[in-house]
Amino acid sequence: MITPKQIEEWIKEARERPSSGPVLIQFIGQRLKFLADRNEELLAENIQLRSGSKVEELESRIASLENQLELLKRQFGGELPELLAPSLSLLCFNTSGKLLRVEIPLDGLEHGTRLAQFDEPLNPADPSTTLLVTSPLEELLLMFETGRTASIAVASVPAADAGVVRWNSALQTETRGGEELCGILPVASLPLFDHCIQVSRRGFAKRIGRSYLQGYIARDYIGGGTRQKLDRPFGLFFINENDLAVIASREGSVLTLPLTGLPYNAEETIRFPVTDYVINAFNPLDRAHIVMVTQDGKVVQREASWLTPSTSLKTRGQQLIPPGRLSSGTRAAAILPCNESDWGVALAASGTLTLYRMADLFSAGSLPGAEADPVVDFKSFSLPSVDRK
Amino acid sequence: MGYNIGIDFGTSNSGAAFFDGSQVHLLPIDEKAFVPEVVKTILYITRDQHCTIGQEAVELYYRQNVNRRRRFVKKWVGEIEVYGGDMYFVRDVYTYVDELMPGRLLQFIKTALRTPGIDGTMVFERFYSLGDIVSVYLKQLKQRAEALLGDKVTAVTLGRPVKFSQDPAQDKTAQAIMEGAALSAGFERVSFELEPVAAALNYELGLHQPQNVLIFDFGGGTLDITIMRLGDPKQRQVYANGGIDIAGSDFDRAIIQGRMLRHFGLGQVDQHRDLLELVNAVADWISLPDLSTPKARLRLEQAITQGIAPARLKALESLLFNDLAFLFYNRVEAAKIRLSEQGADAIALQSKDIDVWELYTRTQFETDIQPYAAQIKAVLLETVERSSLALEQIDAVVTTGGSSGIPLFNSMLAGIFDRERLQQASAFSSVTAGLSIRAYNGSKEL
Repeated sequence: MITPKQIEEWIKEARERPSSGPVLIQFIGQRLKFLADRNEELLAENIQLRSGSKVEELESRIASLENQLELLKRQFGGELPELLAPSLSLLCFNTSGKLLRVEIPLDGLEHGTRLAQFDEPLNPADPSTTLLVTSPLEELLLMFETGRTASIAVASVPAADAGVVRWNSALQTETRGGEELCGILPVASLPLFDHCIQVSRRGFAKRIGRSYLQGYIARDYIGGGTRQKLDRPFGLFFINENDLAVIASREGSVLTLPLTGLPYNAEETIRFPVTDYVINAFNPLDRAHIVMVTQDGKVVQREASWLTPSTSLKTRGQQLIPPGRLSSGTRAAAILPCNESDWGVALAASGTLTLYRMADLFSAGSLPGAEADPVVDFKSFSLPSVDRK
Repeated sequence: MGYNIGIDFGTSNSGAAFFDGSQVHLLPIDEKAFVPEVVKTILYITRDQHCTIGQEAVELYYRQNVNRRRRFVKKWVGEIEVYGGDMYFVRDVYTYVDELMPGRLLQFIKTALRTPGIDGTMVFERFYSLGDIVSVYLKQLKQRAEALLGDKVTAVTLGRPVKFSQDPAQDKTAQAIMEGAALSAGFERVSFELEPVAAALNYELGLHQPQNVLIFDFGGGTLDITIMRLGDPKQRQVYANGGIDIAGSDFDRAIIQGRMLRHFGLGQVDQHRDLLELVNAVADWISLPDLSTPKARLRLEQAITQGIAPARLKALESLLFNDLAFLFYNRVEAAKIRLSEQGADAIALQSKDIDVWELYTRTQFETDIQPYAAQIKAVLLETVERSSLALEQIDAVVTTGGSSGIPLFNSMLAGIFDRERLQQASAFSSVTAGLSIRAYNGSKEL
């Protein structure tokens, strides 16, 4: 807003000090240019609204939200058997925002089965390709490093061609100004939890009450609060009052905190050396085991009772990799909670996605062939316990 | 051996410098500051006793306090004994304490040194004496200086005002606290030099015969005026000193009050007292985080829905809740500094829901700070009068401090003393530079 009085004051300045005249013109010109550009953007937006393309986009968004709402209704309505899909979805995504889906059939799973193959090998030192196993009926919250979020239904993610995963046929999510996709959170279970924990790659974490989460998401606060120098958001997970929050790192550190031990403001929870960073943050819920899969395929399993809640922040946490192995280069590809009856899916550097029965991995102590083909990521999943037939 | 440095521990801003025998090296202690050689005399101590200073402290304070939860609990703080006629009883006194407060921001530490009765403060569970507070701050400065110099700093020459206090005992105590704090911060040798002497040291080194000099040290927090005889270090004499708690931060506030508040609703929400209170609070950077509560946000959103200055209040909401406040204050301060060089500058802040643009001219600035200028002129003339010197007997006026570069004050001094007598020392660094030279000379004498 510019008032006539202000204009008078600018003219007075130019009259009293003629050298100020060019400076004033320069600033006013810059502002005019900015406003003209903005005006053009608004006009374009207005045309979109009038032509209906914006309306279509909003309608599509509403449909997606309705789908999510229906999902939640069904979860509360006890109609679980009807909700079960014939498969689970394995999502593969990378930091550049590409997203692909591979279906995991629920029947006839076999230990060591090759599920799919990427069309090009991956770099085992580059953690940019990540796996997520979820229901095909889920709604996903995509988190970008700027704190921006977007949502998408799993069903909208293109499925990979039979057995071959090609990034060039992936869904390219909208990334603004070179921002990276940091994490994906399935949100259908949100109403079942009181809190959400936000974690950054350098181990800064805070808790957000469920009632505040919507506001955080709407205002792009997710990630913003945890951003320190050289840090970026890692992800979110849900938690209840009496649950534990576990933060695990590439160098095998595991920090366990009760919800009450987590701050409302982002604080450093785990003290990392410069080379270390978070690879997983989770609520172990009722899982009986904590499993670490190293890049060279070793499977280290601990009972869930091994998790010792820390009473203070900024500790090193519990160590899963002995110092000797750490100095010889051993790093964790994944640290996650699971049950013995669960299944796991490993992504190898060659681009192979392979299914494993966790019980078999526990007894074998390693992933076959991983020494020659390092593990990039590993995720576990439970098969639905309801008799689908 | 280690380095000997000079530290100007100011009311609002501080600085450190090292002299190598031929050149003063001002240390860019605060890389986040608009002028990295100037570090705000602000200390932020978090609940886990982690200490930060300068711009980093301000940013952490904002980051930890904007939009945070608050939980006030009633705490017993003591008793009051009440006497009335033949009646006597004791009452408990309670206060409400925010138990989720993540840290304490401490500023005007130097002012506390000259205030009787202040011996320290509780920061959560730990009591910090005044010496502890100064020591923590100096220790941070020392560590940063060592990181920049790549070696240990073993000795320091600290600046001190001509009088911390009019009370000689308090004055002595203040210097003793400073000395103890510096030793506790890890300096092995500590010496002091009067700030006006340090400010005019460069000028004094060029004198062939003693002169009556008025040192006009106009910094971020206070204006200090000293009239003294310089030229012969063995026969320096202070004729008078005075000052006033007006300086750069007051001008920033004047700009915000006069020009910026309307961008956040002033003039449109005046009928709504609670909203007006929120708008007016923008002028006070330190209280702003306290207003960024869920309750305030709800009130703002209600008002926006009701159509009360929606664009302005949305901008206010964005300022309060989107970590934009310190950026806003920095922009205002930067524009003020640039107005000493050019006739106009734009104070602009664009982000989500906020588009502030104010083209601000030097004439407007001079109008806004006119009431302060009148007070400053009065204090200046009163100090000259107390020195028993006539205006003509003052041979030179050495100006220093960031605010001394403001053309309005230059004109004012030129009007009183003639322009030929004005000597502009380095605006941001002359005290620090003088102290570093004194530190170097001190080390040579050892």
